[in-house]
Amino acid sequence: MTRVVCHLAMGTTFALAACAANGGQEPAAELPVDTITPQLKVTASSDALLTPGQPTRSDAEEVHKIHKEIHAQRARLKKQAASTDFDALLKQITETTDLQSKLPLIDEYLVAAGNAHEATGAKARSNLQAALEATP
Amino acid sequence: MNSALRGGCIRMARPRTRRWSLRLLTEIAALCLGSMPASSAQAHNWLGQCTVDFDNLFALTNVIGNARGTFASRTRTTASGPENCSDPNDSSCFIYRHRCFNDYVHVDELNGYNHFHLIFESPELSSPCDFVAPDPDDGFGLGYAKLVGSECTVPDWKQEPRYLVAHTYEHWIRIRLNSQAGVQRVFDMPRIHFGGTSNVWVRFQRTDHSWWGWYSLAPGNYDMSAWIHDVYEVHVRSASDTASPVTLLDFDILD
Repeated sequence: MTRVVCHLAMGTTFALAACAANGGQEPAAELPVDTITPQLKVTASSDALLTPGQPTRSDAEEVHKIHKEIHAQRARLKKQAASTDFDALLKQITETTDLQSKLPLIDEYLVAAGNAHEATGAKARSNLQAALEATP
Repeated sequence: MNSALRGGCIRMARPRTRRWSLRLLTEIAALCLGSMPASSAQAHNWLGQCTVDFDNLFALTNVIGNARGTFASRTRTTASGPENCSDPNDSSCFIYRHRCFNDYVHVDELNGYNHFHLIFESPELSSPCDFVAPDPDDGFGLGYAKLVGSECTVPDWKQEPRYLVAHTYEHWIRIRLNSQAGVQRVFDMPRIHFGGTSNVWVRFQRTDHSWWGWYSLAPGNYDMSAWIHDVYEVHVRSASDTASPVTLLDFDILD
């Protein structure tokens, strides 16, 4: 079986679907080229097995640095979520008619909802659902 | 890969003859020299092999909304059904949970994005149909429609094959094996298959708590049997801060 794998730049993962839907070809021309850079790879699941070289051992400092970065990012996301204006972002989502522009906004909204206080996040998700249902 | 293995498990007999002392000495010598000994997975008993390819019915049934909009979000199962879970440290929550014998292979994330994307392999999903209209109105949000002939139809999302794409380039995807009660298990990962075009950073934690890895592997299908054995966790992300998010097609686990 051959899989068509479309790979796009940061923050544009939703546009992958457009690429896949296009048979692995470059997404529609109307997609902004500065935000979506399609890179295609046709990969067969029966790819020949590659053998990596010897792995490198991480020293304690590197392990600590990686874990510290992850925790810092979690804290950053929580902080961002606490200051997110969900209503304003939702308005922006509903006013955006182009799906490929709308999807990264939904992505941003859901990440913020996931990092907000549980009740706030649940309400935000519910509002998004209602707004998307109401959008033609 | 043998198509018979895809999406399922096979039981394998474990070799009974082992040369423990020789292996131990080899490992100690290699560690003293600062390198990791290459050997086949022999350090614990295992039941068999499971292939995780993101097409698993159990896993897609349980993730909230069947990841219908490609979002595979952290999920908690409650008496009233699945709900969103925001705590990466809550061991009762999961994102993609694949049953492997009596255990669960957990694929989740570390950064706090609380989701990754399970992209549909079928080109008939998403555009030109985009989202299903009208919405299924089951509380789990919008999902992609599927083009069948010239009609946009509502697919059975849990039956649609997928592959994993992280949220951003710096997004760490974590792979673990837990018992059904949530106890961490040791496992082997003899093979892992990356798609996309970006190089990948792979790291794994052995049972002595040391971390090992490769900072930049090209996309491809890797035989890891010599290296990733008797581990607690495997983490993968894009190798570069300017590259695309990591794309994970499938991998094998020895439970």
